[in-house]
Order: sequence, then C-alpha cells, then structure tokens
Amino acid sequence: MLETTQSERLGIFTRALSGNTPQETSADTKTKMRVQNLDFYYGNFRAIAGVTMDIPEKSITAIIGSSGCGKSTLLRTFNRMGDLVGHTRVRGSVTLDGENIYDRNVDVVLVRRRIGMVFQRPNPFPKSIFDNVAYGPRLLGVGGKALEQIVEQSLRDAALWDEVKDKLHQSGLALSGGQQQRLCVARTIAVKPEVILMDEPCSALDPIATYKIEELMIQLRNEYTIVIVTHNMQQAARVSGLTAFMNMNPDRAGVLVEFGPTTQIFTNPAKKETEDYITGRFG
Amino acid sequence: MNQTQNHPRTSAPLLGMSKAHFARRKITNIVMLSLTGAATVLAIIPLLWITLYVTIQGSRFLNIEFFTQLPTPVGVPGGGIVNAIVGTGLVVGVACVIAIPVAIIGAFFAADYPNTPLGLAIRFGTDVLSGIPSIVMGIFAYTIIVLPQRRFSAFAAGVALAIIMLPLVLRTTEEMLKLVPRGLREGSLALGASNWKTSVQVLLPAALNGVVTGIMLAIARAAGEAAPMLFTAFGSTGLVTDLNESTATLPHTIYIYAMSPFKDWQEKAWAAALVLIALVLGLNILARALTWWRARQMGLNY
Ligand SMILES: Nc1ncnc2c1ncn2[C@@H]1O[C@H](COP(=O)(O)OP(=O)(O)O)[C@@H](O)[C@H]1O
Ligand SMILES: [Mg+2]
Repeated sequence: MLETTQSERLGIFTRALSGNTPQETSADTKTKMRVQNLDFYYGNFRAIAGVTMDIPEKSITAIIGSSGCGKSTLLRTFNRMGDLVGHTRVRGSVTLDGENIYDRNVDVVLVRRRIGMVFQRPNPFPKSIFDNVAYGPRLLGVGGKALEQIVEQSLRDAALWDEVKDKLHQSGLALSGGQQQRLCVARTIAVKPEVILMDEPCSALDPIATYKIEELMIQLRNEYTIVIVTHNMQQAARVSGLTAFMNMNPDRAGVLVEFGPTTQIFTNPAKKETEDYITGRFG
Repeated sequence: MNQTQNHPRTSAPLLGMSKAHFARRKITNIVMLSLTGAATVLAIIPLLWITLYVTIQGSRFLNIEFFTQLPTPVGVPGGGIVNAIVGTGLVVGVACVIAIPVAIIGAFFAADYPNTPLGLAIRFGTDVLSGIPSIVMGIFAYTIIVLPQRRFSAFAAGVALAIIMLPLVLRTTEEMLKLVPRGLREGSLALGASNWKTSVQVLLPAALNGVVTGIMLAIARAAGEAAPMLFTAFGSTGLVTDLNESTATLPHTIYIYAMSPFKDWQEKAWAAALVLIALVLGLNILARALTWWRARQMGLNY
C-alpha cells in the first residue's frame, strides 16, 4: 500500500522533470565553488556540520531540506553574509575559483562583488527603480551613458524592462512583490557577479510571479553560477541541474545527506532519508 | 459546572459566558476606559494651560517692533528682543554644527557594532550624559572655554548646548537606524558595498525622517535652556553676530526680564516667553509633519 503511494509520488516528480529540460551536467564541467568540511556556529550552537560539496560553473544547484535545517545558514557562508551576525564562527573552507574566501587576506567586499545574493523577501532600496539598479555599478564608479546602458540591459535580462521602462524614476517600493524580486535580480546582475545566491526567492510570491522568476533563472543559468535554496521541490526539479538534500542531526546541526544530479535525487535517491523527504513522509 | 468546561472545543466561549460575567466585564471596561481618559486629560491640561496663559499674557505686548528692535532701557516704551532671537539662532547653530556630525557618526557606530567595547561605551556615555543637569554643562563650558579665553562668548554657549543635544540626537538616530529593515543593509552589502557606503547611501536616507525629527526635538530642547546661558553667552543689549562675543538669548532674556522689579520688563518677559514657546511648538509640529510626510512618501513597510 505505502509502496504504491510512494512510487506514484515519485512519478509526479518524474513528470515535473519531463515538462522542463533539466540542465545537463557532464563530468567535465568546471567547479566554480568548492565547499570543504564546513562547520558553522552561532555561538555554541553548531548549525552546519561537515558539509562538502562542489558547485559547478554556469548551472543551477538547488539546496532542499526541511525548515530550520540550515539551508540559509549554508548559503550565507558562500558570500560571507554569516559574518554579519555577531558571535559566529566558521571552520573548513569555501573556495571560489580555488581561492579560499575565508582567507585572512581576502577582502570581503570583493568577495560579495563576485558572489551576489537575492533574498527571501524582496528588499529594493527606498530609491527609484533606476537608482536601485544603478546602485552597484555606481559603487564601481560607472556613470553617464554607460550607466544608463547597464541599467537598461540589467532590467531586460531580469525580464522587467517592458514593465518599468516608462517609470524608471518611480520608487522601487511601488512595484508588486514579483516585480520587486525581479528588480532585486536586476540589481544583482548589474554588477556582473560570477555567482548568484538565491534564498527562497519565490516564497513571498504568487504562482505567476514564481513562474517568471523560474523562467528568469533558466535564462540566467547559461551565464551565471546559481545556487538556490528552495522548499518547493517541484521548483528544484524544474530548474536545477544538481540538487543537495540537507537534514538535521539529532543535535540539530545541518548536514548534507545527498548531493547529485537532480534527476537522480528525485527519481532514484541513494539514501532512504532523501526518498522519505521527497515523497512527503518527512518535514 | 457548565457544559463548556467539559467540552471546551465544541462550545464557543461567547455562548458559554454567563450574563453576570458579561456585565462585570462591561463595567470593568467602562471604568478602565474612564481612568485612561482622565489620565490623558490630566496630562494635557498643563500643556494647554501654560500655552494658553502665556499666549494671553504675551500677545498683549507682542508687535512687529518686538521682533525687529533692540531692547530699550527701563521706562522707555517700545523696543524688542531682536538681539535675543538672533543670539539664540547663533548659539543653537553652533551647537548643531558641533553636535550633529558627532552624534550621527557615533550612532552609526553604536548601531553597527553594538557589542564592541566602543559601542557599549557610546551607549553608556550618552545615557549618563542625558541625565546630567544642564547647569553642569554650563559650568563645564565656562571652565574649559570662558575662563581660559577670559570672556563670555556665543561659542561657549554653543558648546554647552552641543553637549545637551549630543545624546538626544545620537540616541534617536541609533534607534532609527535599528528600525531600518535588516534586509536593506544586507542588500547593499551583498552588492559589494562597504559598511561605510551602506551607512551613508542606504541606511541614513532610510532613517532620515527619524533623524531629522530627533534633531528638531533636540534643537527645541536646547533653545529653551536658560541655566547654561548664565555662564556662557551671558547676555548683551546689542545685536551680536560674532561668535567670540557675549550675546543675549531668548531664555536668558526671559530670565532677566522676569526677575526684574520693573513692570514693563516683566511684560516683555511674557512676550519673549510666547516667542520661545511658539518656536519650540513650531519645531515639534514641523518634526511630526515631516515624519508623517516621509513615511507616506517612501511607503516603508517591510
Ligand atoms: N542569527 C541566528 N542566531 C542563532 N541561531 C540562528 C540564527 N539564524 C538561524 N539560526 C538557527 O540555525 C538553524 C538553521 O537556520 P536556517 O539556516 O535559517 O534554516 P533554514 O534556512 O534551513 O530554514 C536553526 O536552528 C536556527 O534556529
Ligand atoms: Mg531559510
């Protein structure tokens, strides 16, 4: 009885997969970021324990797992956002093109320029649409005609240009939630980062806005390395090439249970825990 | 025992409540509401009373000349307090120039690094500072500026007022910065902005209405201080624009005129008090209006 239900549910995911073409990841894809034996502590509480994973270039890697298992914490170690919370500690290493971003001599500002982030709640600045997108390039000293071009191109790439081209000088806060999130994507790609981290970018959005963001991600994966945290498994199945499944240890530390091609994780997981989670018997 | 206690889930509490219980709650509600109402009225009465009284007393002697003329000696009719109005502007201006930049930079530090030794020191220091009586600030400025320079000056008065304004502006700014959604700060840092850029370009604009409100309230408070003026600005009958000279100020003028035995000076004290109250009230209303307007304009609701 249970067995049939389970295989039926696996079938749903297979269909979700067949609707879209998940990205091909071949063995010779270059590794963009490498996470090794990563531990992360909030004070004495270990939120991440021994995570090791290789993130391939120009692809989408999804991180799934139940709420509170440390997905956001892990993602935020990738651009050192975790540094912003007091009393935190990192052990292990995260490398970008072979350089450890936690090295003593590394400038965290430069790390974040190369590794951008889109947050769970859309967070446009209380500035005009134009100034939101121009914010990053201006930090790099870009101005004048070149700046206007970057803003337009970024808004086009974020599939927002047609909706806002006549009101670039209105407040970014006047947009709808989905438009605000695409504005945040535009703002991020305006500085041409190499990696874009997304923490549940659609959780505050309605299905149509979610669909648009997913389309956008599929567009962007040809040029950017994207890591997305999502609690929406269909979303992971639709857009990502690789999927990482995280779970909590008994001491509530987040661990990486299984990491591999999305198709395999959803249709033929190696671990029982993974199968339980994606078939909805857990979390 | 009634049914609800046995079946708390199936029976809605509204239906289970007895008539007596309901009446008791209604009465309690009315009593509490009247008490809060009475307390509110009690709190407002002094404000209305003072404002009304000063307005009635002061407006009788108020005219255009009062704002444009220098004071006249006892017994000579007419004259005004233009020197005190200009003097207060001068002294408060100096205080703003000194206090505002220091307060804002300090507030950023305290908000960004709350648990560092310096952050804690700033918070503790401003708490202590805001509890020190203003007359002590006057004596302080007197000791470090007036005595070595051997003269009373508008500058010394500005320093005393700056110390009074500093904790007020710093704490409101810090509170306003903490109210800025964390996502805004992270959004800026994630684009590769430094802490400094983030503070100036994102946090300060987002907190600006609150900061400006804090500044205005601090100005209103400083403009009304009489005690420190006794040791610093001292007073003058002439129009002064030189920071190195002693100058008249509104609260000090009120003090001198009100304490004098002369009827015409006492009348001028009322008029000057009305000018000062109008200034303070005006600044407060302006601060509120600005807050409301900025909040509406930016639609800050994360
Ligand atoms: N700022 C923080 N301080 C202390 N503990 C935190 C903080 N943020 C998250 N945590 C804890 O770390 C664990 C993982 O949280 P998080 O990474 O947000 O999980 P997820 O994103 O998977 O829902 C949770 O137990 C949470 O309570
Ligand atoms: Mg999360």
